[in-house]
Order: sequence, then structure tokens, then C-alpha cells
Amino acid sequence: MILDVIRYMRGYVEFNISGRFPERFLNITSRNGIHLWNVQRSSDNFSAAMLMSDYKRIRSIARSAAVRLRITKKRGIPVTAHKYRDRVGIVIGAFMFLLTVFIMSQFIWSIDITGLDSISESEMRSMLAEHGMYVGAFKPMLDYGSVSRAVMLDNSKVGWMAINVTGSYASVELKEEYPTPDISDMKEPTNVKARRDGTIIRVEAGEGKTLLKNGSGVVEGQLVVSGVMEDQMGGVRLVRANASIIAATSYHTEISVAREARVMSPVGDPVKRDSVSLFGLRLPLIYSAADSPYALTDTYTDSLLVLDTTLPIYKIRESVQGFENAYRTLDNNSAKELLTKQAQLYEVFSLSGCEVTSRSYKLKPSGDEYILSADYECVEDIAVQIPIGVDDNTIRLREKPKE
Amino acid sequence: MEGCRGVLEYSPQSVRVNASGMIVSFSGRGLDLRCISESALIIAGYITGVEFTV
Repeated sequence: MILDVIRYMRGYVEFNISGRFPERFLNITSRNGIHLWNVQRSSDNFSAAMLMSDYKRIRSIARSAAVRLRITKKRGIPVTAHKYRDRVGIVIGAFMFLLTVFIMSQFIWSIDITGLDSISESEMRSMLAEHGMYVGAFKPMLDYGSVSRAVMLDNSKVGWMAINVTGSYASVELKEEYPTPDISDMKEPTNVKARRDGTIIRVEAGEGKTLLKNGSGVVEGQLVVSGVMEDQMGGVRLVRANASIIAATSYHTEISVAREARVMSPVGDPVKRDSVSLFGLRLPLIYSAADSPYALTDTYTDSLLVLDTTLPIYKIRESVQGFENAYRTLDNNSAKELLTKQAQLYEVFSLSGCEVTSRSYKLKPSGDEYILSADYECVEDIAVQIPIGVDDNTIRLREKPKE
Repeated sequence: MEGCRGVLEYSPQSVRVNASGMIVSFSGRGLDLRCISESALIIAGYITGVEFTV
């Protein structure tokens, strides 16, 4: 196979040998260091093949061996090049093609990431891009080991990462790191205390001695389930008290908003912009701009996937919303509507662990602002495990000087 | 075959080769000289006999 390629690159001829002493011709050529191959005999004729460069040397040998040579076929790159010697465009085109393939192979055109769990793919792509690993990156400038180390240092969630590059395709494999629970804590004796004021609805104790009854009021830090167990003989045993203290609690918050404020107000409908990204080169299909100095752009990117490989061809759709400065004056209704929405957000994010049983809002104007007082009645688990002996009271007792 | 000094006779049925001090004859069917160099020879085909003549 390799020999055939070399012969094709150098060019070779197939020819017929006719005459009185063809064997003599074969011997003289071989003695002159000329290689022959595919020597065959059919009736009176011999046929053989040799390199094109050797063929020019054997005319005198053929005369001395009294044979006549006739070329039947010429093959190889020199023959093709000679055939197209006047067609410079083909040569230039072939050269440009090879050059393009060579240059394009020096870039990263596709990045696939596997092993993501809690980290989003866009987050990981932006982290990689910060360290030079992005679609269109110049390969010789990249140190894959440094990139993976830098990403691991930047993000503690990444426990292990490897970047494998095959041609222009980069495969990023990673494993996320999960914090190991402190096993020693699971054996430490604890009390269960209340982390908030409230009224106990019920105590669901798994381990420990419940000290308060249902319906009792409880204040923050009060002991509810004790981890100190006494037996009938008067002995004391420390356990890890574990309980849920379901209690009725209340929350109060105040949210304010200025009566007059400067806000960014959307202008008109969002403008759509489509473009195509080819090998990192962005070509706009529709060009339009929002008629405003302030704009918010939402970008959606669709990549082309062929045989589970992302190609460096993207369709990008942008939605640009223009904004303008506007002065807004709130009246009672609009202030209440705005503040109620904020109160609802407070409820969602700050009272996420509670079941809100009732809520009341009260709006009052105060100077140049509106204040919304929000009160919530909730049911929640207020239990918190505190290790025995290391709470504030115990520490205080330990630090008390002996008299 | 290495050490040959020349092809004495070649036909698809037989190849006789001068091999320094003896003549080696190959007989068979469809014999080809796959490659000939200064001191080596490759014979391809269905070889039925090899004969040495000193």
C-alpha cells in the first residue's frame, strides 16, 4: 500500500516489451538499479511497469537488448500535474483548499461538556471562555491542563476536569464535588430548642425528653426537647435529641416606595434581530436597532447538532427592548399594587420554609413615600439542634470564676 | 528469491533464474514477476514445482 502511494506520487509508466531478448532486457535494467514490477507475459509480449524517472534512462538498454518499448499507460501525480499545467486555477484552488483545511484545523470548532449536574452548561461554557477555551479559539495558544486547573480553582464545585481535543473537537469531562457531611456531628448529644418565638402546635419527638406541652408559648432559644435522659435509678444518659417543633409564628415586615421616582420604562415593542454564526464569524440576517439609548437584549442560540457533535454553526435570535427614563408618580392604588407584589416576593423568598395561614397588608403614606406593613401568621418547624454543653449559658457557666 | 543474477527464461508456466552457481526453475500456472531488483526477485502465481540444477 505504502509502496503504491510512493509510486503514484513519483509517477510511473506501464509499457509493453517486444523483441528477441526480453529476459535480457529485464536483467540489464535490474543490474542498472532500475526496479521493475508487475512483469507479465502474454503470447510474445512482455508487459511491465517502472518509475517515470527510470523510464527515461532505459532507451539505450532497450537498444542493446534488441527490444522495442511501447508505453501503454502513464499514472501518478507528475502526469496529472502535467495534464493540468495550463490550468493554474485548479492548482491554486487545490492549494487554497489544502491551506484552508490546515488553517481551520488549528481552531476549536466544537465543545461538548459532560458530567454536569448542579452547574449549568452555559455557566461552564462562560468559565471555559474566560480561560481561553471557546468555539473559535486558536489551538496552539491553548494549554488544556492550565485551563482545566484554572476552572477547578475558580469553581469549588468542580472536583475533577479533563479536556480532550481530537482535531477541532473538544470534549470536556468533569465531575462535580459534593461536600461530605460531618459524620462526627451525628453522634454528638444535642438538645432541641426553639429558634423563634411562637405557640407550640405539636412536638414530634424522635429522641429525647419533651419538656413543653402543646399550646405552650415558646421563646427563641428555649429548651423544648432535652437530650439529658434520666433512668429509674437516677442515672443520666445523654442522647442526640431529635424533634420537629411545629409552631404558630408571626412575621412582620415593612416595605416602602417613593411617591415620585425616576424609572426605566419600556418603549415600543421589542425589536427582533436574527444572525448566523459561522465558525465564530457572525453574519446578520436582519439588522435592526432599538430606538433608545438604553436597551435590554435577550439572546437565544440554537446550535446545529450532527451525530451528537455540535457544529460551529449557530442561529442567534435577539430580542431588544428599548427603555427610556420616565418620572413616575404613584397614587394609593398603584403604590399598593406595587408594594403588594414586593410583599409577595418577600413571602416567596423569605418565608419559603413556612406555611402562611394568613396575611394582612396595611398601606400608609408617610412623607414622600408609601409604607406597606405586612403581617403574616405562619405554621413552621422551629426546632434547632444545639449540642449539649456548648450553648451560651453553659459557656457562661464554664467561664464563671470559681469562688 | 534473493541472490539471483538474472532471469534466463520467463513464461506464465515457468521461470528459470540464474542463482550464482545453479539454476532455479519454478514451474506452475499464471506466474508473474511481481518485482525485479538487482539481486532479488518476487515470483507470484500458482507454483507447482521448484527445481535446482547445479
